[in-house]
Amino acid sequence: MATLNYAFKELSCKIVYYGCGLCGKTTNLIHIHKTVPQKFRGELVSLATEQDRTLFFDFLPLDLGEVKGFKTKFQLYTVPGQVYYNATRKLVLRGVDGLVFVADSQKDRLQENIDSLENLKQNLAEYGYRLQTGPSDFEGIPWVIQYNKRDMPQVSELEDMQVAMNPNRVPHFEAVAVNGNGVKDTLKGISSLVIKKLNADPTGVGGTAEPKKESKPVAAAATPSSKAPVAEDYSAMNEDDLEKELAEEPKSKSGAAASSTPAMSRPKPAAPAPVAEAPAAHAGMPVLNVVQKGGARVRGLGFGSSNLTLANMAGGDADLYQLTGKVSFLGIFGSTWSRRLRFTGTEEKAYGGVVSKFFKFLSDDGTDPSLEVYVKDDFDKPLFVNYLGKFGEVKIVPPGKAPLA
Amino acid sequence: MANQPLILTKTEITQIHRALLQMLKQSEAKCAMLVDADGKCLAKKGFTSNIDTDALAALIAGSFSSTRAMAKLVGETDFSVLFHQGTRDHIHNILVDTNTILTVIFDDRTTIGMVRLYSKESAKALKETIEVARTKKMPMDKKLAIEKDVEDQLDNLFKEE
Repeated sequence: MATLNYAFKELSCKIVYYGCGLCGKTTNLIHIHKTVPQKFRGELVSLATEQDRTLFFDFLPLDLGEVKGFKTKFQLYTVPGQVYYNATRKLVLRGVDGLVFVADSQKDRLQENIDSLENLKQNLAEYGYRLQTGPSDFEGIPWVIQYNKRDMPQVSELEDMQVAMNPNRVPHFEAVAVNGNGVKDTLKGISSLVIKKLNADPTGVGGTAEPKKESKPVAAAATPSSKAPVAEDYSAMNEDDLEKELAEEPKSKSGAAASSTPAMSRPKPAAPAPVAEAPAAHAGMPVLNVVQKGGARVRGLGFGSSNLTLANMAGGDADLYQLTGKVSFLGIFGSTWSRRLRFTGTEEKAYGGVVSKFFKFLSDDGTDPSLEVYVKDDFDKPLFVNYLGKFGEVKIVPPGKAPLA
Repeated sequence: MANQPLILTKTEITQIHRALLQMLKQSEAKCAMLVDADGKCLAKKGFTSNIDTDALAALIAGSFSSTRAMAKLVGETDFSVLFHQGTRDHIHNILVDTNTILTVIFDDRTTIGMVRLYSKESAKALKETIEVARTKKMPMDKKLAIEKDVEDQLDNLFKEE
């Protein structure tokens, strides 16, 4: 089923390409993947056998960008065509919004096409769905037919195929998917039917872009007026508003939840306070998610082990990062901590005789002014941490590396 | 009616995000996603910036569908938990209801037990929210008349053809 997210103004629909084996379903997706600029599509995920036959499904997310204020996304799937993969083929149909039946136009494949269409009807029936019988049938699943491989020498007459497979005359398209002919028109055809069904849905789904709430004046935004969510609130919001709203949650809630399972709660490092102010982010702040095991030494002596992670903080200020670590020395002295860091820019530093670029971070929550964190801007982003511990300066380094001078 | 769209308004999104955040905080996991059994990512929280969540959601839904088919073969209706163990990162999936999956990605900073405990709690809260969302209908006065715009946009996307 389509998903309409009114809070973030997103519409997302699932379109499945169905048809017999080797009719060109995956070829349709490959052409779309090849032609549409990267900005508007994700990667093509293909679960295929060694012989490149689809085993489960191919998947291509298509992001149309904002259409009348709604971020519109299509998720394109293909099914495996081979008769014996029916178990997996059926699974892909769950929640389908629109179907493209790809028919192989070659004369000797006509019966296979008809069988595949029958199989589609049966599989849909198991979910309680059926195919649309006409443009005003909004109970059925919208579908179009693509007569593919029109360039082959022995093809059936279009009318013969229409009579055999399309008695209700749903939209049909001639195509040579391998060259890209007809691929776009087919997609346009089915998209249009899917949206039409959404609109005409007897449940009355749909909505035009509403006046945007984000544009309210800053003074009004500061008041906690939008704190209590009201039922049936279709207004738009953005991720930042939501973060603020969630950050203002009464503390008692999490406290109660934690105390309800005292046995399971572990000693936790002092969690950083939620971000209060949100100054402008640095340009070029890195997106990081470094997980690193390594060694540590105090005052240059005594190796210990460490387990560190550094990542961007979810929501709030864009150049805030979270560093969490566990350090232990000789398996006896250990500490676990978590610090909020602020990205302060890049710095050129010499390491191992080579000068390279490091991202530099300093403590942001004032708990540890001596803390310095450097991340080498490298393929695997090694992490170097220096701070003043209980027994002297602690330096934590990636496995097998020397501390940063 | 079969195949009715899922409507998420500000109310549901806030509740879902709250549940995900709370779970992440308690379990110390890396990120969490709410995935529809059709393969759509309904919501995500945590460090998801370097994960292709669209593809991941589709694959998780796929693996859950095939797990359900397996369950039927042995006389079960569902296997409600699915766990993938890696060397560094692990994925824990739990069914919220028959059509929704809560996916949690975590690493060695926490344990499977913590994730299992808190995602189970979270799934309960999410189930209520999703149940409400599934019965939601939109007022008739709002139409999403964008067929033409979608077609135009598709033309733009394919203009290099």
